[in-house]
Amino acid sequence: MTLRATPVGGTARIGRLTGDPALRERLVELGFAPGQSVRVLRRAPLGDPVEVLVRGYRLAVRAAEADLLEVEAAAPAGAAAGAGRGPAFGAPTDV
Amino acid sequence: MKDCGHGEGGSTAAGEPPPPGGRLRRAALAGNPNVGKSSLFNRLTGLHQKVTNYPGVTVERKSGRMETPAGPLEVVDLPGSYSLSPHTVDEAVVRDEIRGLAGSPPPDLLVLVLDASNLSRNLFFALQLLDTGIPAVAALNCVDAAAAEGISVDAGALSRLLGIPVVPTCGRTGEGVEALRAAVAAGGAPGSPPAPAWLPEVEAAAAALAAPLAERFGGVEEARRRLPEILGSEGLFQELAASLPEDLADRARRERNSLAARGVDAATATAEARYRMVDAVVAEVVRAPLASLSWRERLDRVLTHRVSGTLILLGLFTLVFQALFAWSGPLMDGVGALFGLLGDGVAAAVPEGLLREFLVDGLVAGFEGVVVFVPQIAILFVFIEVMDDSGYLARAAFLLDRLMGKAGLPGRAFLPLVSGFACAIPGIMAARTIKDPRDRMATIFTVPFMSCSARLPVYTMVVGALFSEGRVFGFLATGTVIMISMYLLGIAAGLLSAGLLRRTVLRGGRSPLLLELPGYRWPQPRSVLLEVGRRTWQFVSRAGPVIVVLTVVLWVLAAFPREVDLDRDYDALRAEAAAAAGVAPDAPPEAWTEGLRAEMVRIDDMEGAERSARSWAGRIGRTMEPVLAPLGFDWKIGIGIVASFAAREVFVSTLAVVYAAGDAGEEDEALLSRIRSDVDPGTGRPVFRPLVGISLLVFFVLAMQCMSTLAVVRRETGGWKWPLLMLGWMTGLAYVGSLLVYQVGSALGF
Repeated sequence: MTLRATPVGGTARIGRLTGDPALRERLVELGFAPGQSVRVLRRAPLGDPVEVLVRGYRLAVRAAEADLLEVEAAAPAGAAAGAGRGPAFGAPTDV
Repeated sequence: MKDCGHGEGGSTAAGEPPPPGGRLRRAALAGNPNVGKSSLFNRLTGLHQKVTNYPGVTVERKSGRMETPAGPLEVVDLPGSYSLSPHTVDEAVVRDEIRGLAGSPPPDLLVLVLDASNLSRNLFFALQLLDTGIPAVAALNCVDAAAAEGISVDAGALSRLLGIPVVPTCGRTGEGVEALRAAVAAGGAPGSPPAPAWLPEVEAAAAALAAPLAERFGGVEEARRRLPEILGSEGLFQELAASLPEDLADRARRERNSLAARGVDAATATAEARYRMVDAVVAEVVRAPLASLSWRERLDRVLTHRVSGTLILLGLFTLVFQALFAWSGPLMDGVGALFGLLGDGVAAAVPEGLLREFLVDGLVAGFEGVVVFVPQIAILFVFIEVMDDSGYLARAAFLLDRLMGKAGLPGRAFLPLVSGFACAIPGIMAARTIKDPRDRMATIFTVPFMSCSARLPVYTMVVGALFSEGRVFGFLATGTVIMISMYLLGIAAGLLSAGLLRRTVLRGGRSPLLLELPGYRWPQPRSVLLEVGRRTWQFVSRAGPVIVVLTVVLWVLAAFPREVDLDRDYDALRAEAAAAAGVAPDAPPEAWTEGLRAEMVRIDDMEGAERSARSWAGRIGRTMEPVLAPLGFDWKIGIGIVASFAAREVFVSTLAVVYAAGDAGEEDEALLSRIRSDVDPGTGRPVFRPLVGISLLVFFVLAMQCMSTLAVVRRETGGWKWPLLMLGWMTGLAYVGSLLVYQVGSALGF
């Protein structure tokens, strides 16, 4: 499963990254390191791109990029806080 | 770990290298995008700023002077960047500047601008920068916004952990700026961030390569110390490999590839390790609530909502449109009136003759042609700056990305395209907000297809002359339908051209979208006005000279040769008319009767028409007639088209001269009726049939008839390739389009 399939409102933990090495590096630099938990906030009206909360900030990525991020679906919203490596920066539960 | 030595001779020691005699000490503001860097820069330097371009790229280099007790300091505002492994032109510029590869040595001091509400990603770049060993101070910016979200950052603890002074600031209110100024003046400290923990696999690979690469790094120990970071980063490694002889580069690649077999992603290992350091720092200095429903998120829910977000976006762009067309009207009229007065003043001061004509019709008209666009451009940039500063522009790009993607354009292209409806020039300049070069080129290419306000007078005239009556479906005025169709034709042709371009010259997938949606902020009037003033001046200084020169050239074409054989002796006609009215031939105009005055105007118009037909512009029009005839255009329209290459709206005033309608506007009844009643002497049919009108409209929608736009495209793209391609493609498309309309229409009997 990749981030692309994560439903809106869902939290996921980043696993492996695939795709072009330079793009992988940039994705990690932006906060998508393996183990980081992220939250899908919403999709744009036409379904793409998708807005993600990562390390406490918001980033829009297209489905094509979301597909490069393999994820394990984390616990449902509410139990995800602290799953990330950054204390309190994983996924504010009530955003 | 210092890695400023990737460049030639870059060896900024941890101490304080005194700048060479004569050069000002230089401080560089560095940080992520959207962290308030520019407003801090404005605060630090006041109005003492200079904006230039980095050589070879369209990235702007903003620098300014800051006075300190220890003497003046040059301050550079670097473009926002996420990493020293560059992914965009902006980021490459930042890396070059920091590493001293840009022709000047590395800065003497870094001012790390950190967004307190988003510290973890900000610290990632800050730690990279500290690793260069350049002395630094940190500005912990937007502390108030962070506090509003319940996030508190312990500046003292951060300063201790990083080993540099940390000053809480707020660029918006100016809070902390004096303290920051003092810290900058004091010179900062080299920093001592926590040591990174590299993966053992990476350390092993570094150890294996340390001996063969010792020469490159000036010693085995130094190589062993620096290699782990480089091996774990795709960007840094490719940079290193490119600088090595082929055999060593191969050896390094093999060693690095073996990391994958051991389960390590060599492309990302360094970034992951650095984030582990970031997390250790963040854990000690940041206190944040676990749950919060901030007003920003509530606002986002509305502004990016499927229904309300789309409606607000449409509403905002309608507002922009309205402002550009309606609200700028009085200002543009004001500019016109001002230049009218200037022209009158010149006419009063200079005796009648060639010099006066040159000054009034050439020079003053040329300057008016520049300044008349200033209101629209300034208004447009106010909107752009406010939307950008507030964070809304990123939301608009988010909403529109998919739609624009169908034409191979990024979501951000929307704003330049909307600007294009006012004038292509600010639209092309606004395309600078698009960082990917191919996306940006495709956008620049599309903008001139949008029906700009200079086309509007032509549309109005043609529609007024030929389609002022009639209804479509019984209730829509034919004129309205034709106007809207022309706008749609421009949009369709632009998007299709962009799509075609992305499949040919700019082939390749879309660049990935990694669009930060920054927190909402109140735009600051001071920054907005500074930026609007700068952009407007850029337009005047870039497009201005071209417009003035071209207006003068076209005046020459229309006004020369002076001595021509005219069919009629107009002075004799004037004398006759005076005699018929019972007025002395040399009587001043004040003594003329009402009827004589009208007759004199008629004679002047006739003379003007004949002179323009015999001028160089007229001859060019006649020479072009065989080429234009298949489109349904005669030589009179030909003259208008030649003239319209200075500015499209000149077409109307040129036709007015050719049709001897005096100084007419686009809705002037005298001009319209003369155009309607003009008959082709060969066929006896009216020259301006509805079919010719449509053909002419299609030509004006599609053709690249704006030398100023081409000049700006040349400046923005750094060469003639793109402007020439644009000229050829658009004008070719216009010719084929009009040809199709006229030939198919004629065959169908219209």
